[in-house]
Amino acid sequence: MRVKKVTALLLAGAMCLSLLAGCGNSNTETQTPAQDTAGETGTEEKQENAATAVPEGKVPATGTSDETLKVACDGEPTSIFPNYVTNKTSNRVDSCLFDTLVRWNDEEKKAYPSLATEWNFIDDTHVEFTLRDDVYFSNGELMTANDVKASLQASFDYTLNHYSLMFDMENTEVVDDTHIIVALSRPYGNLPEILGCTYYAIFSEKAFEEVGKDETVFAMNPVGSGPYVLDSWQTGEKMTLVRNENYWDKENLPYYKYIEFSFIQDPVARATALQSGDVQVAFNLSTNQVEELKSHDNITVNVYEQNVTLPIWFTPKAYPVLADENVRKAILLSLDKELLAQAAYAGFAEPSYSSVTGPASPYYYECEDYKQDVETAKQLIADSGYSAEELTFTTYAVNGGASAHYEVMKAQLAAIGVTLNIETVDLVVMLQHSWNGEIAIGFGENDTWDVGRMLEFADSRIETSWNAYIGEGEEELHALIDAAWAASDEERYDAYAKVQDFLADHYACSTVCDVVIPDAWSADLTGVVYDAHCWPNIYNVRPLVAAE
Amino acid sequence: MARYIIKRILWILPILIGVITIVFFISALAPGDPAASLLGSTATQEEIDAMHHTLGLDQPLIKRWFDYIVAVFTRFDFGTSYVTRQPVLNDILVYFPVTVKLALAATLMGVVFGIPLGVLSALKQYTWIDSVILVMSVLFISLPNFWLAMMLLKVFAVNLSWVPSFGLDRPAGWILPILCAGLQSMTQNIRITRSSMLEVMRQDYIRTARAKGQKEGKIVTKHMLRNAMIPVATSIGSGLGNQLGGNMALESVFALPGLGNYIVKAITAINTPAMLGGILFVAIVFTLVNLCVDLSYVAIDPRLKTRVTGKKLSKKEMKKMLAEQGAV
Repeated sequence: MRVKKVTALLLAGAMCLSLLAGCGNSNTETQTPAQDTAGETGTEEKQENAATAVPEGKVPATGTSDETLKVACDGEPTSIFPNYVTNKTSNRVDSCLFDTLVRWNDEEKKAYPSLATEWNFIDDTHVEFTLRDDVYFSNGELMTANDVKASLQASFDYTLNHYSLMFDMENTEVVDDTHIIVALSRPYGNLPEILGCTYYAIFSEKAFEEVGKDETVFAMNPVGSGPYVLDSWQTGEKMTLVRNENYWDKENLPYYKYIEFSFIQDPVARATALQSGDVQVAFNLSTNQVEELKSHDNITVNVYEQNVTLPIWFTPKAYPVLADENVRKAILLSLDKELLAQAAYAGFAEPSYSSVTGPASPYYYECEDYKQDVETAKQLIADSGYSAEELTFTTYAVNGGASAHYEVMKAQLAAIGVTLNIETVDLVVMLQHSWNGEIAIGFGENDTWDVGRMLEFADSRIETSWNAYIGEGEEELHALIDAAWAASDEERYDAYAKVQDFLADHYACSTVCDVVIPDAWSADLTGVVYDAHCWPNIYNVRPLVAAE
Repeated sequence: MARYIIKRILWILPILIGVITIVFFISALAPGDPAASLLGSTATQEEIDAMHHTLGLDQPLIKRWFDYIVAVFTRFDFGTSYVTRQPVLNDILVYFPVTVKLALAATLMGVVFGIPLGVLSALKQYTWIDSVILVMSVLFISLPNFWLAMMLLKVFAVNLSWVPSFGLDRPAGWILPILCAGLQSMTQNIRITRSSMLEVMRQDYIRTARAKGQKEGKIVTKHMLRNAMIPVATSIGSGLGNQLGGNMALESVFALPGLGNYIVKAITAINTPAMLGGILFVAIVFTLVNLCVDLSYVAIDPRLKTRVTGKKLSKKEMKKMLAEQGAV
């Protein structure tokens, strides 16, 4: 009798829990995107849910309001000192607090004037910028060329990234209040695009000097010329920005008086906050959440291809077999890029057939040689004469990250007689193995917004975590890389194509796809813009209202 | 008693040095380079070397360990975070209050509901009340609390919109985190109280008290419960200590800026000073909580006072104790 009672109670408890779980939205039935990938590529998603798209019968609200835009971010800014921007939240916040000399338009893949009205290459290493004369910082000071120089100097002095080392600050010259000639330590045709990143945000020289050029103090009291100013920062919890009522660009005064960034580490919690209406925007979700979020009519999901790629690199220095071009060729020909891309991003990424770039890059260059050809791959391996032991490699997957593409790669390599052992480790451990040159064949995640930087990985004159290309025609490659660094404007596309073509011809590396990241927001919003990194910014988000 | 407390506090010092040493060397020997982690895979060797210098990682390991110990014990300086570039102690003091509030509220819920339910379950052993309480406690202790948290969020924040899904701006924001953490504490207390009460209930002095005609309520509260409280106090103390170390899963699901989240973030970023400082702080708190639990034993069971202080009980104290045990 007692046993019966207990069993009945247990069953009742289980039923209650099932009911609780079943109380979820009836529209939340999910489907594995990979099961239905036809017509669901990132590109189509981007077109369908373009961040700035306005549905028929609606228009973006004009004017300003006293409302608050609530945003769920994946982490807290590491710092809001521009040169310490090392995560996306820092970038989002800084894009609201500061302006840059140029502003990147990712739809057109082009840099547009912002604080600088025009720029001209005087020669390979000198660029003259003409500045606006009507820009005021949030402390009321007029922006001049001295502020630009001080900001670039700070980016050089305090940088956490390599890019700033390109400035030759000693020879950078302030011509007058609205003109500055930026000197470079070497040719850098990409400069205008690079200056659209928040690393190179312009801030008040006076304000920076007032805090003794202490970047940590300045980060808590930032003075920029952006549409918002910092209102409060509750560590670990949230940050609130308030509209800069003296913003110089009166035509683009932001709609929302406040932006509240909440730091929510867990993507499921971010999606929950969006579904519950506690936030209006949730960034950096998982591709596995897309289908469920799309089932909510009041949510817009934007699966965006980042200017970050998922590349396959070899380490020929540590694994001499991989110095054999035919082995690399066999490995790359064995891979089905479409399947790898699908596996990596749940069917939302478009495959890349380039050596270095992905489809989102303005420098994307498709190389025919990267299409799958298993029979040729098998023949190349058979002809190579290497033993099974020599053709056994190790790679490292990141713990907690996507790993399906590793399994796909392993299976496809096995089909041609190459063994790939996969070890799952923490990100930092993977980075360490990478630095030690222990990853024979590696999937990386490379920021290609500065494609010139990517080419450094193939340049054996520079030591990076990836082992550079070594093989036939190294001098030729170096000459092509140097030419690409120096090329500006239209020439640059051609110069980068030549380098990528060389790498493809020698099967030095390959790119699987661009990294795709879903962002989601309330369906009655528009105006999320993507910067040079393809990172979303929200300084000009507005609600949609009925068209009159 | 004061001597005992001072002695226990002094014992904390070698414990902390041990904690620092173990964590410091394990983190130093563990794979992963903080500079590479900060700069990413695209950094050059030159940048990595420069960052090593900036972070002081180019100093010998032993010197770094010694400097850290000196800084902690002489200046109470836990180092500077590699990521935020703020003193670690400042960061910890920002994150710790949330953890404390959650831990205290959960512990309170565990005590207020767990102990009475445990007592009730023991008193009604083998009845349907006992069964319901037991099933409930087994259920809640078996469910992973992060899963429970997500389900509660789905129901009460998304579907019903009764509580916010995150944030502590409104008091309602505390409800679900406290409920999840409190249920865990409550079920633990139910089980410990029940088993401890069942053991005490069979003791001779309980039978004696009944034979003397004492009221059942007094027997339960004064003779049974008080004698059953030692293991319960231990459980509450260790539960509170664990909660004060941060409830990583709940803090993550509810986006709470707590110490657990802080330490996890520090570990994943190889932010050694933050990790070391966080763990050291937890160790200090845990040892202090343990000290308080040990002192509470004396209040619960006066016999233990002789062990703690080394002094014998006075006649008055002995008489009082025997009276409480129902022997007089």
